[in-house]
Amino acid sequence: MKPGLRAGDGVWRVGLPAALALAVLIAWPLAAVLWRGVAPDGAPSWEAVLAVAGDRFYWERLGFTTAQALVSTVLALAVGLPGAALFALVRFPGRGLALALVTVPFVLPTLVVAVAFLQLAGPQGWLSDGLALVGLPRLDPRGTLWAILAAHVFFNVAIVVRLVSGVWANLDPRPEEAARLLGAGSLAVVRHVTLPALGPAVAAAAALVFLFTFTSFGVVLVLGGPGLDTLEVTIFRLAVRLVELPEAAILSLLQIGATLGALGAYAWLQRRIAAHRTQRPDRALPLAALSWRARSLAAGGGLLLALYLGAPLAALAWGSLSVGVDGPSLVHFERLFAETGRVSFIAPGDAVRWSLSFAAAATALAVVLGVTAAAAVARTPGRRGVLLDALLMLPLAVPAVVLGFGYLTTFDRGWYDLRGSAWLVLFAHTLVAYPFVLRATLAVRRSLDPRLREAARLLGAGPARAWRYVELPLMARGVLAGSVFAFAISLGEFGATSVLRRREFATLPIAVFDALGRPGGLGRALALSTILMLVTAASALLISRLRYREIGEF
Amino acid sequence: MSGFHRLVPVFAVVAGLLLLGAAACGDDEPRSLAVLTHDSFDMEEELLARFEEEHDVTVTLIEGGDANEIVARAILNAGNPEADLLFGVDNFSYHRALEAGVFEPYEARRRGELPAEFLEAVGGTLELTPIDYGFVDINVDLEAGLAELPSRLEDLADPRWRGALVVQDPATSSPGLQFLALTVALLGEGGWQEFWAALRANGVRVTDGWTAAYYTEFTRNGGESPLVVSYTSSPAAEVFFGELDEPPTRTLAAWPLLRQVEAAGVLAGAAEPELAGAFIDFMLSDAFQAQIPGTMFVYPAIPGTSTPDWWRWAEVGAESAALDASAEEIDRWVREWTEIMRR
Repeated sequence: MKPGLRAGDGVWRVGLPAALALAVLIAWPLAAVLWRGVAPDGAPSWEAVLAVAGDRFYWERLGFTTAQALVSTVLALAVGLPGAALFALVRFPGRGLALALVTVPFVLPTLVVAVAFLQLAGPQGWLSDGLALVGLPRLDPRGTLWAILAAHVFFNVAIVVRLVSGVWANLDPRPEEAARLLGAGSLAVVRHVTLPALGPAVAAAAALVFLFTFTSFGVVLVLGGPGLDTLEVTIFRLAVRLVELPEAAILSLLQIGATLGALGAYAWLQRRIAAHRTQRPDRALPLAALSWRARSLAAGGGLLLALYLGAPLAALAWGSLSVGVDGPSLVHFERLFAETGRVSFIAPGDAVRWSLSFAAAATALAVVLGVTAAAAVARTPGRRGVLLDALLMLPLAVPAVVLGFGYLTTFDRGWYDLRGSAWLVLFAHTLVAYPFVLRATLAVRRSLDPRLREAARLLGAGPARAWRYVELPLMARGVLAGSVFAFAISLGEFGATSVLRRREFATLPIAVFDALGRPGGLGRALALSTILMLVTAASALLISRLRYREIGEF
Repeated sequence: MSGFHRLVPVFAVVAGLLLLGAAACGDDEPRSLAVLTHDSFDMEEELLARFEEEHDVTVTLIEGGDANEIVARAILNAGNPEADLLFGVDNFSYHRALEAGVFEPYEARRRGELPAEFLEAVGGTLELTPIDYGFVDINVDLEAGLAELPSRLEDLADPRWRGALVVQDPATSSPGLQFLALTVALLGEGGWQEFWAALRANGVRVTDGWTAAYYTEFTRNGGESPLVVSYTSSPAAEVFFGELDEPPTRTLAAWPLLRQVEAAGVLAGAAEPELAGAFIDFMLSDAFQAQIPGTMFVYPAIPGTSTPDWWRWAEVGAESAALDASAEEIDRWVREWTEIMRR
């Protein structure tokens, strides 16, 4: 580090918004509910700790949770990286729309996706019918690890595709060209030139997928079975009836500890793999400019990805059209909009409005938190930086049911009685959304050449000025990629806010959940989910059109 | 640092405004009554509007999960409740709520008309007023082509019905817990554990809740299981929503059933205890009781309430079994069930 460019410049100032948000909205409620759980009578109960530590079942859950998250992450990378290459390198018709559609699975309610999955790959599904036609046995993925893994990849592949393709598309292609001129084969070029430059983005995506699948709840609850519970699900079972709150609290600490450990390892690794590359305008080539082989490879890969992600979405939309002997009909949508004269009626228009309002506000707040938090992490050297980085991801590590109980018991008095307040919902959305902005921003920042910033500093710009005029414009693409996810995660958010929900500000996922819990509600739930898909695709398309002046696009 | 110096106050002002806005929401509003209830709560909007007008009050509904979850919420906030009254506590979840002292007594005007067994089912205390009741039984898909139907609970573990049944996890589902309680009541200690182990070996499907069981596993909705644990009113609901003449499903009604009584209580520390009491009386009024089948698909607690014509498909012929278990016993069942079924 050169004098005058000390890392640590203003860490506290830039880190303040995120630190405050974390302290008030995560640490405080979490500490309150965990203390209540661990120390029901005012002093910690070591019996419960020992009971958990001595029970093999819980350790098996930790092992299973970690293993399935690792496998899910590897699979999501295996499916997502070729997808990212496709979007980064090939300019094909409908590319923007396709990228928006890739985001859709990410927000869909689990149970609705499970219905769509079974429609396709269940024992009575289309795939099974096809297999039966050629004399093969029918599929039955229910209650198996395969169902969980397939769903995890389905839900999370968007993270890999979007984060990695965003960076890849703007890499300066000259080093690859140079390597090729020097005689490297295409595999060697990818391995030694491209992948290292993509390292930070791939690692960021992997970390997020790991985190999401490690704390997986809905997928496991709906598609899992005996022996397939994650820690998050185990905690929910223990906590929800309040009977085994001590065990739930201890397992929550275990989950948070394990996640922070994994995040710390990742943050440490991340600092070593940063490789700098100049960024350039979109490098994608039009289809026509590709060789015949590259074209067929792109088409084949694209088709497979489209089938994997598109088929369940299509099955869902098909189901919402209530296709019977008379062909498709809009009866589910008509029922959705028809006033029932019951208090349970949620006007779909209102749900769309609330979803969009929460998502827009949460994204704005998440960008502020995420960008400042990224600046704080980047300015903190050594182990402290690693720790800070891991801690900032805490919102994604906390079991939703525990945090929900925490909100009920801490924001419960006087002017801060926020039980049932839409503000608290917004804050909760923001907290689960900003880690995406943080990761995406940091990933781009780390592939930036630090000499750009140093040059600005040497030319007399203060750290803030250098950040504002040099780093921020260059990071815009990362911020944008993070914002798409922040928006999407808010659109799809259910877990952390289910305790805070109110009919008066019901979002689309909450309306879906409500419909599913009532007799005769499946059709309405499918129709609402179709609306959610459309809203998500449209928003993703719109956000990726946003530009930070003209710089987002380069 | 000029950029940030300018930004920090902006954040502070925004945060301050948000908090002020949030705080302001709580003040200076007309009288309001909050009802903490389960996710299946429903009623006619017009009827609620009439109550609001009559008492000059705005009613807010807080849907807080199933019976167990809303009791958990009430306990977490005991003495400082988020609502004025709770509706939806049942005979399987009321013990813990009473122990935690979350309710205060209220004598409903029509309490005397309620059958004694309903009152007894939720502790026979003034703290709880029964509003409705229901039963959980196995529903059969009549179009699934089952050659034979089980006539005893134990039959379900017979290979003839291998993989035919889907049930709910009692730890996360209210009907799941009721069905578990039914097996305890009918098979007794030792017997029920054996039965569940045999069910597991016979390929029973377990879902986290009613929704997944009924909408994804039941053959009626494209699943694999022709037998599902559901409500005795489900066939009537099929008629109602499908606009059918006859239900495509029916309840097995081959053995005695356990009655689930749902009750309401005024929460201790409520801001509007009198209004909360008025709401309980309102829930026992003829107008409210009569619309219970059509909105919540359960049976009105006041005897002789007139019900819609399609409700005849929800008639229960079976006698009801009795079971009174303490909170600790119910917890033990759930824990042992989890051991048997999920480990």
